[in-house]
Amino acid sequence: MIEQKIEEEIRKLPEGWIMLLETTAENSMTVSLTALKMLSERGYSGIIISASRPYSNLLSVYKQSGIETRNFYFVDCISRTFVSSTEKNDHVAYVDNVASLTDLSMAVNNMMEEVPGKKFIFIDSITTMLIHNKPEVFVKFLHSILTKMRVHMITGLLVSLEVEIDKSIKAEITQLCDKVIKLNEL
Amino acid sequence: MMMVSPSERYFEWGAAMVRMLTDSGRPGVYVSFHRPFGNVIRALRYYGVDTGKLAFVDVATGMAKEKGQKNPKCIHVPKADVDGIDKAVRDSLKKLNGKKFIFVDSLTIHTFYRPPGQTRRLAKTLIEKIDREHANYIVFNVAEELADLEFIKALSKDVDEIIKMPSK
Repeated sequence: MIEQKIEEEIRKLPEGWIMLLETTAENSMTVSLTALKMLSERGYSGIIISASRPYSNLLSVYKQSGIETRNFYFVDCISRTFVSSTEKNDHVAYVDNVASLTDLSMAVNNMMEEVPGKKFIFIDSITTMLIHNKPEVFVKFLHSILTKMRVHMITGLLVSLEVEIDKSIKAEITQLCDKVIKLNEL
Repeated sequence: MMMVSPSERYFEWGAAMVRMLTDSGRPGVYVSFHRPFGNVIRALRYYGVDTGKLAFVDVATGMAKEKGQKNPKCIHVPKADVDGIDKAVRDSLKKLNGKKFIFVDSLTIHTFYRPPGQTRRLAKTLIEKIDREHANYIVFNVAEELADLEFIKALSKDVDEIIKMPSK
């Protein structure tokens, strides 16, 4: 049912729009995999900002799920803190940690310029990033990234988990997106 | 006027207001803190707004340190400074004839980049346009959940009317 709902919404999503996917922790992987598979099958190149899992782990999960990763590029905010050695290749940029927003911003900007074709940015997850950053700093960062995406007509999918966050911060994030899809009750 | 919209339908309600104003024959200045010019124009058209009746002041692109797309319908303000925005709105109003309006999309975003005192000053400066520059309406679109912010509370005292939009 989650898959069906995501498919319906992504099919309707106009080019360059930004969607917030609200889900539970237990459903978040299903949501991510379904969305990424759909976008990949539609010929998008993807920039995946991961604040939850290291690149190597994501790559293997995506492959196991039958997702074509040839056109995926990753900004990994985890490995430098938690993994002793990291794989270096053109498809991944590492930043020190989730709180290194300037480095993260630079890495994403570089990828936006270098990745060819129609593309999307997938942020997994807003909730994790908020844990590690001051909310007002993070919201400014998010506005900046989303504006750049809008300038360059890049589609965006932001995953947010169903947890208690300050209502004004939640509202600031929500109003920055074009559409909110709640996948909590499914 | 302050328009208080639920954050999940924030842009949709804003577009509905702009559409109502333009459909009634008024031209207007759309001040965008939220979205860059190219995006806002596409999004407004998606919701059926006649963007031919609008002039745009794009503050969002400059705040994100991006270069604005040149277009005669849009003035870009690179640094989100109050005087720069004021001048851009004034110059945009001059291009329009008859009864006109100013629509301010997401003033709260200005506080990400500038101290709240400056945002408050900006709001006051824009409200003064109603008398001085012959704008007949000014609409501030604010997310419902942000209505408790101090500067929004202060702004609510300066407006003549507050409209709450429904979530459904």
